[in-house]
Amino acid sequence: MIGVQRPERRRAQGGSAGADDEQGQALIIAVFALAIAATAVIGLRAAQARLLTGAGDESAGEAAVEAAASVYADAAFARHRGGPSRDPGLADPAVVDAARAAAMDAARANGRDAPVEPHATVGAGVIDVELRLAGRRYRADVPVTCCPR
Amino acid sequence: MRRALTRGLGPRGQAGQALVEFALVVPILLVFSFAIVEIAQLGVARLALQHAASEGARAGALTNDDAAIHSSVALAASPLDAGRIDVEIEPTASEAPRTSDPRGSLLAVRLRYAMPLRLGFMVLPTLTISGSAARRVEWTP
Repeated sequence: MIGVQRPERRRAQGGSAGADDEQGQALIIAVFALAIAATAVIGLRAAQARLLTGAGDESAGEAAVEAAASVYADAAFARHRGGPSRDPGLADPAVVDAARAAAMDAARANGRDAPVEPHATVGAGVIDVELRLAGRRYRADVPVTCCPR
Repeated sequence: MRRALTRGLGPRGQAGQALVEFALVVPILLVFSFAIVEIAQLGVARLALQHAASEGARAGALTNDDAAIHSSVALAASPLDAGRIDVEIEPTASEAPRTSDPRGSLLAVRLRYAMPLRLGFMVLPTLTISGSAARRVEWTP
């Protein structure tokens, strides 16, 4: 198949130096194939590395924001259990520190040892927690019965 | 030898030479084609395993139940063969704090998958890949 399409064949049939021209064609084809394969392999591996890093970042970010939201939810629940309150206690420094520590622990457990700073805001019936990790933003909403607006 | 063949046999000899060259190149092309396919499948498997680990850890954080973790992993690991996935949960169900009130602790799920290779007859029969994830447990007894 490869040999049939070679233009040198006609010259070779004519008795000139065609045979010499044909030498190395397999080598050239093999080199081209290797180059294409190497490019494909390198490209695939680079793309996979990016995808896997992104997936790891996403897993760590989700774990971190869920952990922080869980701490804020616990704080709001504890505040609510102490008596009806419109303030879920999200600004309490102890709660903020606990949420930050929980988020960092979760991110670290997922292989991302980076500082994270969760921010919590109170919306209509929800505590909205947000943080950034590796350039991406992650959010978690915790529905609460306190804090109507 | 090639020249002798060419001179002696003419076009028929050249056809034979092309066939020999083709036979020499085809195995290399096939090996690299398979290698590209294997690498692509390896990437898919690693992503699927990472996703399955995340889902398993999330299920464990919500339920503290090993059966739920295994079920979530098996569902999320598609297109991998769930039967070949080795699931390791830390801490185990018989260890503290999972035996009492684990809320607030971390639960880690580590997965290993023995991936069969098409080129296994050449180097390795299988390649083991892994994925892991951890979540803060939200479950309360």
